[in-house]
Amino acid sequence: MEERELIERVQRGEKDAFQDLMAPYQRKIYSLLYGMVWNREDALELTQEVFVKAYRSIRSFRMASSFYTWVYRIAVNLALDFRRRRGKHIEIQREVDPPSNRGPDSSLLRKELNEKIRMSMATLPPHQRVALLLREVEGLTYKEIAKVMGCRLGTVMSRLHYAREEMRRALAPYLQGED
Amino acid sequence: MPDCSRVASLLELYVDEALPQDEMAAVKKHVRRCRRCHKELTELTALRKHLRETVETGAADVPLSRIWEGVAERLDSPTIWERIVWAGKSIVFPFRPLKVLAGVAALVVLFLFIVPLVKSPPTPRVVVESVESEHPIMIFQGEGEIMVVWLFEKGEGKEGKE
Amino acid sequence: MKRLFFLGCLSMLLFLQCPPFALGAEVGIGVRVILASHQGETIDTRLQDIQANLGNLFNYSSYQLLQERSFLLTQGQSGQLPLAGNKDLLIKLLQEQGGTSELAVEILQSGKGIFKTTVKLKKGGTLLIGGPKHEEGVLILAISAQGS
Repeated sequence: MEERELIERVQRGEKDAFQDLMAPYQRKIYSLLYGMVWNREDALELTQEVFVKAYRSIRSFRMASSFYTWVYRIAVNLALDFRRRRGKHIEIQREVDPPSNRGPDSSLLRKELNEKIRMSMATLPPHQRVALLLREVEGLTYKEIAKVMGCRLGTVMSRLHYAREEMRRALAPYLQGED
Repeated sequence: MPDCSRVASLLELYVDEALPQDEMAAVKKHVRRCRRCHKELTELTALRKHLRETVETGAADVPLSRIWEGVAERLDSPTIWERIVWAGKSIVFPFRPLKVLAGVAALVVLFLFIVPLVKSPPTPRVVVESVESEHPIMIFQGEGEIMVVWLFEKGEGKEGKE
Repeated sequence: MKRLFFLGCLSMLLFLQCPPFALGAEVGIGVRVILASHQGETIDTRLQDIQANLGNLFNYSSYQLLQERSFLLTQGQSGQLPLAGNKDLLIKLLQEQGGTSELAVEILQSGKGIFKTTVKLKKGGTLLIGGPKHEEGVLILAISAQGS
């Protein structure tokens, strides 16, 4: 069934169609929120909040705009709001070792790099972090990111540039020598 | 062939595939034979790869069904408004002999109060009634309870909501 | 006993429907003067409540709170706030009725009116007047009704 039709059904009050409508986005939204809060339980709760908010405000959605940027926008606003509410007291969850088939050394290095990435991301200004996640992880174009974040293309590019610069500085020993 | 400093400034756009085709090709050609730019490009692509892996690994093993359990629960549970209506009903009509009367009263209330309320749109919290200005102005509605009046002083370009 | 309880509840509901007495009510009006610019990326922490709105409505990267004032006005009373660039902001409470304040808001440049608006504000509502240039940015005046 087409997305447009699903949206119309949910707008008419058919709750069952909502799960089908959101199915393609659930993993993406969860990943984005996880990248913002680095805690699985918080990310799960926030994802639920995004879906509930999307359901309750879907009547205000206009078909002229794209649905996924609308959903992403809700997610980004809630994540930024969550950051503001929690302030600096965000707890970064420690990860269990990811499975590896490249021997103990590479697994250890990978774990160390994961940790470093999570810590560095946590210190980025929230808007830069959102831009970086939307581009590098979600693969959105500059134009799409501008729509989601409600800013200009130039702002997206500068946020991405500063975020990358900071991440490259923090991860320099791990990034250099890769080929 | 573009020089190094120019290519360096284009590398981010190159990895984001945001350059015109001819420039993409020129950067690709330059990077193949320039060690410095090649190193820069490798770092940018490595950052993307590691960031993606870190997020995806962390987010991988969460059962998505858990999302829906919570969502369904919250969508099925009554909102605060529904709770208030139910509580109100139990106070106003507490005993059985008045059931018929209560039904009639509810209908009267519905026609006298609720129907006009449903028909008339809610009054906004901000209403701009009149504006006199020496400069051109633009009025627009913000999100929530905000109204904006923007004055364009002489020499100013468009600046405001996109 | 039950009938008495029922009647009591009904009369209470009717009482709640009555508008509050509004004679000579004082109304709190909050004014914040914000400098919006592209200089830096800082947002004043005191603007947290409208931060999201500012970000969505305008394209500036920095919002700095220059002044914050509250006026307690009764009908016919005015409050004045000097602004940068030899400008003044004048707010007059025209009337207050049923929780809605009708205000005349005027911007004066060297004593001469350059902008005037009449606006009805309910508690929680905010009027943003933006555009006057200042230094490297523009001023945004946030006028909010704080209720009576």
